[in-house]
Amino acid sequence: MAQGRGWPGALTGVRGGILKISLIFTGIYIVLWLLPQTFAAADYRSFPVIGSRVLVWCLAQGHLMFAAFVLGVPIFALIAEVAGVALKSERYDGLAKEFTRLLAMSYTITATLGALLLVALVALYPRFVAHMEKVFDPTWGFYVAVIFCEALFAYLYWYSWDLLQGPRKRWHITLGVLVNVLGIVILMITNAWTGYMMTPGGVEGSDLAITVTSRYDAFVNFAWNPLNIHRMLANVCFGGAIVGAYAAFRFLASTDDEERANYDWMGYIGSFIAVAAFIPLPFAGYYLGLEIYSYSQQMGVSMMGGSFAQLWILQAILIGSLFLAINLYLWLAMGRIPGGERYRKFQAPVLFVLATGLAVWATPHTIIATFAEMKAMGAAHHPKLGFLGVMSAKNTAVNLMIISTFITFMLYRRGNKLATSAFAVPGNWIQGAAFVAVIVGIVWIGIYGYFVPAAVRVGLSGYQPLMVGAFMVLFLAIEGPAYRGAGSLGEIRWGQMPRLSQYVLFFLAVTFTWLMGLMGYIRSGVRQHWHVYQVMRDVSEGAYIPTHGFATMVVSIIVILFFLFVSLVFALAMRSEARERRAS
Amino acid sequence: MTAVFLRILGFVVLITLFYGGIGNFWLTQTEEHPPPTLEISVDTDTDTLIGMGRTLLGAKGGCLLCHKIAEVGNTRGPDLRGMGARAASRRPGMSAEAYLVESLTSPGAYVVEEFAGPGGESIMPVANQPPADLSPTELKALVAYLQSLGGEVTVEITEQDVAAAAAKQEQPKAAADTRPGADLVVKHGCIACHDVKGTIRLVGPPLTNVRERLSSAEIRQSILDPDAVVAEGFPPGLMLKTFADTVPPEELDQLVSYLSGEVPLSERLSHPAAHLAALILLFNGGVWIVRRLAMSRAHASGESNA
Repeated sequence: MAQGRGWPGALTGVRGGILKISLIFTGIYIVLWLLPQTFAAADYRSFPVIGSRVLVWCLAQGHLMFAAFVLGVPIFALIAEVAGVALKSERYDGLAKEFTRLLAMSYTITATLGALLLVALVALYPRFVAHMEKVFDPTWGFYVAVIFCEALFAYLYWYSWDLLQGPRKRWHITLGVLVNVLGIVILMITNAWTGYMMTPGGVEGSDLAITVTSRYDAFVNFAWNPLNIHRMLANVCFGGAIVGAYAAFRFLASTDDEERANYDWMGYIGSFIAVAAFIPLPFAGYYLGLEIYSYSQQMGVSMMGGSFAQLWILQAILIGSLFLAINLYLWLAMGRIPGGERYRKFQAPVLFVLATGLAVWATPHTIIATFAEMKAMGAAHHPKLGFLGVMSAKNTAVNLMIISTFITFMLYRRGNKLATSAFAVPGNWIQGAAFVAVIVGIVWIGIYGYFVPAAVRVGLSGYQPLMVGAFMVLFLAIEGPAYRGAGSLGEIRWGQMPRLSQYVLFFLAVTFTWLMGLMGYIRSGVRQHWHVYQVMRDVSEGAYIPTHGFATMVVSIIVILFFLFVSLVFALAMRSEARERRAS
Repeated sequence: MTAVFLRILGFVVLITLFYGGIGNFWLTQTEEHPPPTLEISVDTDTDTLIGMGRTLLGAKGGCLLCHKIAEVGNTRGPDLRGMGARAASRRPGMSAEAYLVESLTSPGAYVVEEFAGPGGESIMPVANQPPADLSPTELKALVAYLQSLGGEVTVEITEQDVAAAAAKQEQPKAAADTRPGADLVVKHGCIACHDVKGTIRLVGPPLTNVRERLSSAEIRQSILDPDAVVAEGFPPGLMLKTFADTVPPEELDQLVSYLSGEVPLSERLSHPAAHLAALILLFNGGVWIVRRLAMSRAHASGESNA
């Protein structure tokens, strides 16, 4: 994907992109037109060897991961570009361009996987598609039109990067805004479809014998808004993690110090974006869970306490590992900051909180055990450790882990700074007092939760994240004036990072991706044997909840395939960069 | 570069297999299948009915997600041990069977205080509606089981219960006909008198070959004025003459189009293929034109510079 040769060259690139999208849509249409003429009418068809469900599962999750990447990256690419203009920094502009370079090829892969998914659904689940068509037919044409607009502006955004510099930069930023607005519209349309499958509204009747009473209610269903918020944050987080992995790969593959310094910085920014979006993600997930409970108690109970209960232990391990990895990366990164060694003493207590928090979070309340085991324990849960398996303990653990990670990050930010402001000492005391207060508050709520009824306990759990949020805001509000005009103990030695730190960035990217695959499975699986919960039954041969082992292996395979595709994107981005260098 | 790629690939595979390994070797492995359909008839004896009720309690009914029937179990809802005895005295003047049926089909009618939701409402889903969606016979089997928990089983399966259960479980057998208008043949009751599958002779002529016998104009006339032309072998005056008033014009167009196979121009233009072609032409043509303009402008500016 080359740039250059002025506007005709840029528009040639855009033409190529639009042509690719057109060919994909034409291909889809021809296949969908041929399908009913080739196969006899059926409600379900079987896909050989792996079965229809696993095929659709892999395609849907793969498509979703690439879609998350292409919708998430433009958000922070635009922010980096605006930061470049505001700070008059070419470095940020170059970073934004580097982010965007990764998008071009990803669009084609996303569209191709989407096309395959649609064809697979129509071919293998025609009755279900007929149902969705009845409800959402008017949105489909609009969706295709938005995809064309998004592709047009995204390719234009990329190809016009060098042309719209200087006084024309505002036009380029406008293009970036359009790309993001359209991306969010795409996200919201698709969320309406998936949300409807979980928490349908606006229809009467069942199966194909339905009457759409309110298309608005079908679109703006219970899960729609929580999905919008949750997925938008997750997309930014995921995009940041993948960009961090790209930077790590370039860092490891490079032999040039300057290049390594640049990719070290890019990796840091990528991981910072991932972590910043990751912190509020559990609360967005909590909102989604609340809406699911509001819609159907039974669905909520199945999700948290029934068929999928044990997968939340795995989720805790994944998120705990993420916290550990983020902290490890920051502590390693402090090694290249003169003065960072001053904060080494905090490593052990932070590690203790993280390890203990992970252990608590991963403790199950009720264990599926044999009769003899239950008899030995005296109940379905362990007499002592079982107390750590309930919401009060887990919420306390996760909030303490978030605070610990925040503190690590703030210490990293302070790394080479020497506070000279008169407000620094009292500011530090206020921050310390606020820290003690928030820890006491969180732990107190956690303990109090054991002595109140479930309904009160659920209500209390909202106060812990509020306290954490208030603490962070207060801490940051003090940090600014306290470190204004601070002296420096030396420049950050970008590029002087141990190779281990780059593998940590890959660990973050893989864990985020795996987590996304797992949560996608749970979100979709809670419908159990319904295509559309309580409205259209799934009577196909795959209408059952597989074993956790099978499900997690499918997720693992999807993640490996995704990273193979991502390596293709990385390779093409590097080829494009090399071509650009040769041309200049 | 290749060595770095392979090392990272190995690392990625290792991490994914680690997480997959936890899922395989640490977590409990069970498959959860949709509940089987139980064959309940008037001849089903009480013990079998109670056994079926117990199966429903744990599987299709999903009751054990919130209730318990042993020392160990969930406590979101009341403990079901002794329910057969308690049900008889919960509501004065109401029999145990009636109370249990009401609890299952209208859980909000009487809510046990300590198990109410935050606003005092019932948190229990209705058992004869999705997701549990128990049939009348299944509901009675469940009541029989609950009565057996310390009470006397009074439930009896009647012919009406069996017929209602059969009607509820009747699933649409035909493969989906997703063409526009297919649903209108059902909605306006055409299938009550006309065969659409080519299998039986009904009161009116079959619709399977109607497009070979009649043009779209004739089909429209046959719907609006059924006796204007009557199909050979079928007596006049049988078909309702109210469709002109009951079928909205746009649905009539769709119905005629579906039966005749002829697609009017307005419908052709609203076909997804027409929309897709318009979008492809618009975007490709637009970019092509702008590119040509940019090329001519670049060419002109090159000439003027020269």
